[in-house]
Formats: sequence, structure tokens, C-alpha cells
Amino acid sequence: MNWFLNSMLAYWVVLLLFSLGAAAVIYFIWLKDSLI
Amino acid sequence: MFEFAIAGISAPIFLLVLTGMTVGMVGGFIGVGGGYMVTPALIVFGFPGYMASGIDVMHIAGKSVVATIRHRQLGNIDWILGLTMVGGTMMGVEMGVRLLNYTKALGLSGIALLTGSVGIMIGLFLYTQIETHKAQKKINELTKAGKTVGRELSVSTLPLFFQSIALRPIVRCHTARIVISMWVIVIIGIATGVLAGFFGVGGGFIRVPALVYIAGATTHIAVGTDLLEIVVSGGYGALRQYMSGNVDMIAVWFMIIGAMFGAQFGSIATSFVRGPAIRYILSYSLVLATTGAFLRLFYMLTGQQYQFLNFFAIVFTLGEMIFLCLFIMTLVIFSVRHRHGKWVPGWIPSLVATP
Amino acid sequence: MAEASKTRGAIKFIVWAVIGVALSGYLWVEYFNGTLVSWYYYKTASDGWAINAHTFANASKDKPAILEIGNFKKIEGLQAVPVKKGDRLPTNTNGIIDKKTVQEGKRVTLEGNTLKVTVPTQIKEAKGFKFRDTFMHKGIETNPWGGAWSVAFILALGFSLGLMAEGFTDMCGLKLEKIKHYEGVH
Repeated sequence: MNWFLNSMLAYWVVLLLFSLGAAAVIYFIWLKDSLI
Repeated sequence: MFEFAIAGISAPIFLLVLTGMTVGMVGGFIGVGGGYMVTPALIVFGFPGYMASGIDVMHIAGKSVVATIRHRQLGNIDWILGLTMVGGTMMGVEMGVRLLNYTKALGLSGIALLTGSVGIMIGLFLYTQIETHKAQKKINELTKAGKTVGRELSVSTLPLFFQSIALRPIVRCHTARIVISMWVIVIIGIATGVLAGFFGVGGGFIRVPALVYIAGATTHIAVGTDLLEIVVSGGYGALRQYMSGNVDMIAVWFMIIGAMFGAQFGSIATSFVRGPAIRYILSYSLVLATTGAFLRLFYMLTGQQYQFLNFFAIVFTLGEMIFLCLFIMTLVIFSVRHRHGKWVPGWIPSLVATP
Repeated sequence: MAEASKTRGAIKFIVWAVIGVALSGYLWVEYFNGTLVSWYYYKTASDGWAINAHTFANASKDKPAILEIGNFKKIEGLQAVPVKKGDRLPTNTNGIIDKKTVQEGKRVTLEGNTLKVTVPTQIKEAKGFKFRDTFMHKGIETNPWGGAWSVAFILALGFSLGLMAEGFTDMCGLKLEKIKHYEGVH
């Protein structure tokens, strides 16, 4: 756990997954219906 | 949704403002325009491809003024360095675009261009990432040895070589504390401009590393000075885009409203961190943009058959902007916590500035 | 002393906020009164027919749109105005169907005194994403003064918003000093 909390790479991966999740939410709310 | 009379489409205002805000934050922090993130996003929102480019460039011109004013206050601009480079940059972009048109007439394919631009981005990413990692390690070692480490530390020895070139006239950049041949600065401008014009990639993420690793400026000064550069080159680019019929000013306005907040936060955030933190975010933006480009390329090369690839490409294009913003906010939050003696992850102290 | 700088900050914030709001208001007024649109759809860049692409957006091979050709000063509905390069655009124009497209005959054909549109939209690709490419924006030339105005406007807006923000941080007492780039080991 200590390694995880102090690891820059772990933080990078978690943050990227979170960001992609947020982008997916945006996609489903605003973009899904208007795409070609 | 808003009906844009000039662009001729309806697009969600919230997403335009959000895009302006996120890219403003990233641009204010790492000194880029952010076009490589914004243009694909605008196409996803429904704008025609040519208008996406034009709206982006016009908004970059305005956003860069906002960020430059803040960076001026923070002492991050070397006017001599910036103004010496401007002429070279604009000449370089013009040369790059003409070279592109010439090679296209000879039959150069889009795939070759994409490969070239991806090659540059990966090369820059690797060099910046490796150098910054070594710099971070050295900061940790020096701190353990009881030394006070300043705002910037770079382990690259390239600047020493370029600063030793004695071609007159020699310029003295007072803020950046560089004494260097004017021709080196002009050639940096021309070379980065040619790469930008030819490969259609932004100038910022090539110029900032060039200012750090070739001219020897600190990262903060490279960021501020590059944003000054972008005001001039962006303004000129915006005029050309408008003349080509690629700009919807109302869409630009919505993005500027977002950038108003984002660029402020990004610029001010530089005062909370050391140089290597900025270089890390720059390298992340390079690798994420390259991955996004690969996903889009893969979708196109598979004949646009697989909708899940399109979904991933869109989610990645939007997600990379959100990621970079959240990372910048993380650095600021942890910097404040560190100043107050609270717990922060082990990788933070070397990246944040202590007053 | 701190209070004096906060007051100066507040004045700076208010002045530049008013200027920023005024500039934005000016933009919106010019938008709603049609000035921005008229600067954009200004002249023809090629020989062809001036049209309004919205009027035949739903045309198809089964249900083609028939555009009546005539020298209309304002395009209303399914109409097309013959133009030569450099002509000013009639009101309500948002694109040009050029002669080359009509000669190719894949999307638009000339039939007597009408243009028959069968393919109003093409799907094109840029930066790896698809977008709808219509006859909008094709063959038009913008007003160069519109370009100069737009760039000057955006730089002025950026300037006012930047100084407004500086005033705001001063007003809030947020001390932002020049970064000391060269202290300590570097």
C-alpha cells in the first residue's frame, strides 16, 4: 500500500483511468447521438 | 446547444467552454497552444475539419495573451530571447508550409507525414522524460545531502555546446541569464517553425524543449517566452485562417471564456512547481497526443469499421486533456500541502517549489 | 499598505472587467445584427452559383433538391444565383456550388434553368475523425477587414481578461511575486 501511495506511475495510471472515465461520461451525455 | 451561424452547426456550449478551460490550463502551464488536442475535439463536437483548425488558432491567439500577462507578472518572460526568435519562427512556418505543399505535389502521402510527426513527438517524449527523471533523481540526492535545490535543475549538457558557438552578434538575455549567438536563437525559431509548418504539429511543444535543451533557458522562462511567441505567431496564423474562411468568432468566444479561467490557473500553477514538473507534464502531453493519434489512425486504417475504436479514439482525445489538467491541479494541491508540512506522496517534494 | 494594493487591485479588476464585458457585448451585437456573418460571407472565390446549403440539406438521390437559378438579391429557399469570381455574395448565401462540381455531375447537375442537387453532404475526415462536409463555406472569400478586426478583437479581449485577472488576484490579496529562477543549486 505504501508503495502504491508513493508511486508516481501508480498515480499516473489511476488518474488516466479516472480521466478516461470522465471523458466516457461526456461522450455518453453529449456526443453519442450526434456522431457520424 | 448553440446554433453557430457561421460554422453552420449546433454544438454544446458547455463542451466548448470546458475545452477552452482544460487546454488553457495545460497551455498556461507548459507553454503550448494545445492545437493537437483541441482540433480533433472540435471535429468530434461537430465542427467541419477546416473550421476546427481555424477556431483553434484564433482562440490560441487570445488565450496566449491571457497567459503571457500572468507569466510577465511572474517574471517568466525573456523579451530579448522571445523577440529574437519571432522572426525566425514565422519564416520557418512559412518555409515549412511551402515545403509541405511541394512534397505533397511530389506525391508525399498522409501516412508518411503522420509517421514523421509521431516520430518527432516520440523522440521528444523519450528525451524529455529521461532527462527529467534524471533531474528528479539528482534533486532527491542533493536534498538528502542537505543542499538547497533551486527552482530549476537540468542534467542536459546540450546548452553548453550551443552557448559556446561564437557567431556574432552575441545576445545577452538578461532574464534567462544566457549569453548566446543570435544565430542559434534564430535557427531554433526557423527549425521549430519548419517542423511546425511541415508536420502540422504545434510550435509550442517543440519550442519549449528547444529553449530548455538548446538555448539553456529555465523551464519557467521557456514556457513564458514561448507563450509570448505564440501571441505573435498565433495572431498571424489566426489572420490567415480567417482569410481562408475557417473561423467562427462566436465559437472562439466561448472557448476564450473557458480559457480565461484555465490559462490563469495554469500560469499561476507554474509558481508552485519546479522546472522538472513542467517538463514531466510536457512529456505526458506528447505521449498522450501520440497515443490518441495512433488510435485515430488505427480506426481510419481499419476502414472505419469498428465503432469501438472510434469510441476509444474520442474518449482518449477528451480524456488526455482532462488528465493533464487534473495532474496540474494535483501538483498545486500537493505543493500547498507540502508547504504546510502535511503528508504528500514521495515523488512530490522534488517537483514542487518551497518558498 | 496591503489595503492600498487591494484597492488598486479592485479598481484594476473593475476597469478591465468592464472593458472585457463591453468587448464581448460588442461582439455579440455584431453577431446578432449580421455584421460578422456579412464579413464572413463576403465575396466569391470561384465562378459558380451562390446558394444557401441549409435549404437543401436533406436532399438525396431519391428526393433531389431543385434550385431555381436567377439573379436574386437575397436567397430565399431553393434558389441559386449565378456568380463570377470576385462578385459580392447575395444576402443569405453560405456557399458556392462551383462550375467544376456541376461539370463532374456527381453531386449537382444543371438542368435547364435549375440545379438539381442529389448529394448535399459528404463525409470527410480530418485528424482521424469524420465530419459532415456540405456546400457551406465553399468558394467564399471573407472580408480582409473582418480578419483584421477579428484578430485585433481577440488580442484586445485577451489583454483585458488578462489584466482583469491580475486585478482580481491583487484584490484578493494573493501575493504573486516574480519567481526566483536562480536561487539554490540549479
